[in-house]
Amino acid sequence: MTDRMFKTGIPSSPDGMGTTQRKVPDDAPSTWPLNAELNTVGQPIPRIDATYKVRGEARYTMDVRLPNMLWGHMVVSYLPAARIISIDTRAAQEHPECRGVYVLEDINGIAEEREPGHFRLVTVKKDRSNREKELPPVRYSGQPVAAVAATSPKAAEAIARLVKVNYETIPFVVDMDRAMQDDAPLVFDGEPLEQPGTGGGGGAPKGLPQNGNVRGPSTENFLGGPRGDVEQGFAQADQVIEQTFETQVQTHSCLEPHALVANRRQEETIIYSSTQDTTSVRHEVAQVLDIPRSDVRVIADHIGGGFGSKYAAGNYGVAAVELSRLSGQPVAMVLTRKQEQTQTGNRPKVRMTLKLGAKKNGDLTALQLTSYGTAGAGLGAGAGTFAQGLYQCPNYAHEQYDVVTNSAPSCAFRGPGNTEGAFATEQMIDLLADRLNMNPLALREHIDPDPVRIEERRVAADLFGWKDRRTTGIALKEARQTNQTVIHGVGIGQAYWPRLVQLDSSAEVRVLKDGSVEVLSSVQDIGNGVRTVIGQVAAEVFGLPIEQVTVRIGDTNFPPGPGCGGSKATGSITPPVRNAAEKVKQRLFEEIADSFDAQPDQLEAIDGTIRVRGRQGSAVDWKEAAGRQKRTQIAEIERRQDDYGGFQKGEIAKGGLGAVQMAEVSIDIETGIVKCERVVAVHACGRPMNPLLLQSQINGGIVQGVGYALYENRILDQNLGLMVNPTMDTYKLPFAKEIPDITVRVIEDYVAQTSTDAYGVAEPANIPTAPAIANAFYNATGIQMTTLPLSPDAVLTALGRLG
Amino acid sequence: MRPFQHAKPSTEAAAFELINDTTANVMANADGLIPTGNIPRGAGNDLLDLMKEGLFSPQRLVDVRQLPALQGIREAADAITIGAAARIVELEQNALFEQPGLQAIKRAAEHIAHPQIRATATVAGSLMQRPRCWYFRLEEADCAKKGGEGCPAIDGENQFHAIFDNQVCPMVHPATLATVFTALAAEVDIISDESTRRITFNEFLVSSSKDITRENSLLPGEIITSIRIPLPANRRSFHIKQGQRESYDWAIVDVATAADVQSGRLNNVCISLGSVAPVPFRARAAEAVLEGKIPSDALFRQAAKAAVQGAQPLSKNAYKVPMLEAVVRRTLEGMMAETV
Repeated sequence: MTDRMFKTGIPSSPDGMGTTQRKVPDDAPSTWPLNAELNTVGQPIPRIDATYKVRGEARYTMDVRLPNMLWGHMVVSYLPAARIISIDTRAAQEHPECRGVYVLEDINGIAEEREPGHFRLVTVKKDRSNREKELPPVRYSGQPVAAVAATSPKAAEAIARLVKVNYETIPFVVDMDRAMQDDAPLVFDGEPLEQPGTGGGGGAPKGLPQNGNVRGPSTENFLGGPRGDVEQGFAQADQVIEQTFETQVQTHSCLEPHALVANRRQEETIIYSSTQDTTSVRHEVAQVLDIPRSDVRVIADHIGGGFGSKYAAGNYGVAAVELSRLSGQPVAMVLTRKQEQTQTGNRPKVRMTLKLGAKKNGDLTALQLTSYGTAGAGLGAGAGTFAQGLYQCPNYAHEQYDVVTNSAPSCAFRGPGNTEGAFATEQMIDLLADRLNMNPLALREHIDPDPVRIEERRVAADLFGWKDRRTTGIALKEARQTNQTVIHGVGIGQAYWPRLVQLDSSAEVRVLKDGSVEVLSSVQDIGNGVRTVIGQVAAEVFGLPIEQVTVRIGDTNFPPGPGCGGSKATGSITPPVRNAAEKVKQRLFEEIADSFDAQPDQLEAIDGTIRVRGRQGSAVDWKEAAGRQKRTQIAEIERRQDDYGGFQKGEIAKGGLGAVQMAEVSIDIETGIVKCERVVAVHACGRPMNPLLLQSQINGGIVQGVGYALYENRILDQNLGLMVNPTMDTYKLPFAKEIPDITVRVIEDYVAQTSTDAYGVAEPANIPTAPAIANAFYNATGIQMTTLPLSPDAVLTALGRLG
Repeated sequence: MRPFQHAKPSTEAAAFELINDTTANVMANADGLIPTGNIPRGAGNDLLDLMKEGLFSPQRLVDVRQLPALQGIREAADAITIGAAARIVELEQNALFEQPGLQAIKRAAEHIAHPQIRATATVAGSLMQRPRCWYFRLEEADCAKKGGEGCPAIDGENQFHAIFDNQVCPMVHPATLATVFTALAAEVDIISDESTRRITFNEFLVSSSKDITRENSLLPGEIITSIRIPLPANRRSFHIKQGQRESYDWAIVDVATAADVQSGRLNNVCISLGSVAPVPFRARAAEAVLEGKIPSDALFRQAAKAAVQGAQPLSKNAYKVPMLEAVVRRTLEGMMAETV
């Protein structure tokens, strides 16, 4: 290890930059200067696959066609709770186009009984003879039961209808309050439940107590447990406020549905999967087939969105794999939109009660959170770490409970827990500001000393025109006096998200004898632009334009890259790419230095050439210089290392990802229609790798946040347990005219933690939008919206317009 | 979706040799998804939806868009005639609909679905859409309108359902053009192999409380040829569709108004309330408030209040009442505005 001084800080901030000393590995690459002095990194380069996507040439999983490929279709139960007495597949099997029927032996993605009970089928994998007797019970409407494969999609759908399932219905509960009652039907027979997390979050803490359908409380997480003494904190407070907030269920609504094409062959099983993590799908498929991981190859060329829902192979994927095994042919399983909405996960509903104590000057003295949430037949419906992590209140405690219900299980969803927690916490801060007669921005300045958010607030307030904000409630009061029907308000929302890293991330970089450059990793581009970003890193190292770098990703034949989730891809994969590229460059220099009549360390790769530093006329075109290497290629594989300053815990880097968003809404006080008119979003993620792609990702987060705040809602019929709005027609996403005028700024924040100093931005883009909109509503009306979404019904009710 | 046959006859006579059923009739009577009935089709946007959802399986679809009797938008001295095959986009773009007496049609057309749908959807196809009630549209939900039993909406998720005439089946008619044609006292020209008939728009619409299996009085073997809209002198009209979203969304409420304005007074006032009952209907009490009067803000408020009298919301749609009241007033204001 070597000591090295780094320039750190926020160049745009009034405080300017400082210096930090770090111990870096002896072979660490040189320190990159600020973005302004780099050629490719930090530049707004359009995504390198944009033209393929626009032309329709980019191959998504649902576009894959293989010779002799069969089409799968899922057989689904829309009963919310039932035992399966028998399944008659004869009619299906007799269909001339049928090539296989597979009955699901196990249901993935839901909670598991800690002590496997008689309904649990862990034994089936070992002894398949029991299958008829012990099929997994139906615990939610939309649960897959079986799958078929046929020679055409039409036939597959028709054959799926021929599978006759004989159900015995049992009592069910879909309402969270009802599920909490002592006499409620038990979703899991009352057995203690567990659910492992996935790469993208989700899951639940182990070993918590359980009472009927209620599991918890959870009082600790990776940030620790309670701090200080909340009772004492409330006793010290001048002002104590308490409020309950409730969020709805949001579905991921990925434009590309979940899809998997399985080609089980003796020599190699090839899987095409629309996934956020090719590596985890590889492990899962190897486990399902009981074959070595080395026999499984997973490919994901392009992915049409995941948002946390595309980590696992999924029940549909397992079915495709099993059907390929049965039929000996490739099987494509592409979910329908309705299946997509009802069996691939969602964001849980959470009810959060927050109690906040503060001094007259705004000092927080105590913050207490109690939450009950339902992830349906899954676990992990908490309020995250937002209240705990963002404001450093000295006295803090939370109790978070899960309530299981007979509804589709949740999974990770962009900012799991924290997007929900932000809706409650950020509104509490505004309520406190109002009680203390403070501007909400001024209160945040007082209680949030994070230097990144200080700068973000400064930039945002200036861009947004925060100084024009009017006093809470004035707009509505005036409108009522003047018969004005549309009023405006402005609000702020903040985000905090840990800098997650996946150390098990690696990449290979090659320079070939003809001068071409390859970057290889199994990391996949889910729309986040990681394909382009790692290409930029190599281009920067070799002094080449991005067009001269070939990036091959989304294939487990390449070194294992990170999953894309938790805002961790950029921070995980760019350092190994740079480190590998630097090693390749070093080896190339060593091989060709003689031809320059120089020492290797005198060479530099810049502007498409290699030259001797400071020697006029020494520049040789990159291709020619690379051609002087002795063999076919020079290649190096590097993996993610510890951050220079170490991690705060596990694979969580030091510092956090802050964001500040400000929103303006218009409210039609007669019809209850709320529209988000504009958003200013100021974000930081270490060294910004590509401002254009960051803007794109932040735009997406804001649109998703607008949907969460105003439109989206998974509506379950309480009598039938059925989702009544499972189509793009009835599940209301924001469309073109609902998109606000968005201004994005990404500030540079150099932290000297890795060779690229870069982190991601996905979750903070989404977390602050809904609270900013809700706070804007509060600013206009003086009425707090405590439930989501801000539908006309909820708004007219809140405004006292009903009866 | 089951395979089906398709035909594209070039004459009415050839069409009538095939057409023998309606979508509603097939859905109410078919045995499962066994393909039944030869059904007229326009663009097929809704038919395809129903077929894909597994709700409906016709034996044959008969494209009627090219039939001569269904073509064109024609203007006469006292009325205009809109061919059944006219596309929604033509209502948006034809200058005829810019005049005050017909601007309700243009405004409604501009807010139907999205540009891709409007470029293909026909006027008759729009009127013949089946309900958008989500229980009706879900294969798994039983409902009397589909030939099953009962109504899960009445005690269920009824936030977008009817607040009037909602005791049997609280569906709301999906076509905002139906709201407009009700206000404009349109007539529907219908032909079959044996006869032609012209009926009032009111006679065309059938409430689910009268016959739960259908939304209109078109009989098997019939097709709509045109919509005739009388156009008295001094007619003004307007339409507002209020959805939750401005882009592609269904109306939560929609209101069409029409009146003859002479010497500053409103005569022959028609106020049609849409998306609040199984079929659009005229708010007679509100019309009476305005008839023969000089419009004013106070009068419009009074009329709007009268329009919502008698509303009986279900468990989750009480918010539609104040929304409807506001939209009635705004539609009247829009009708009287000098320029739009």
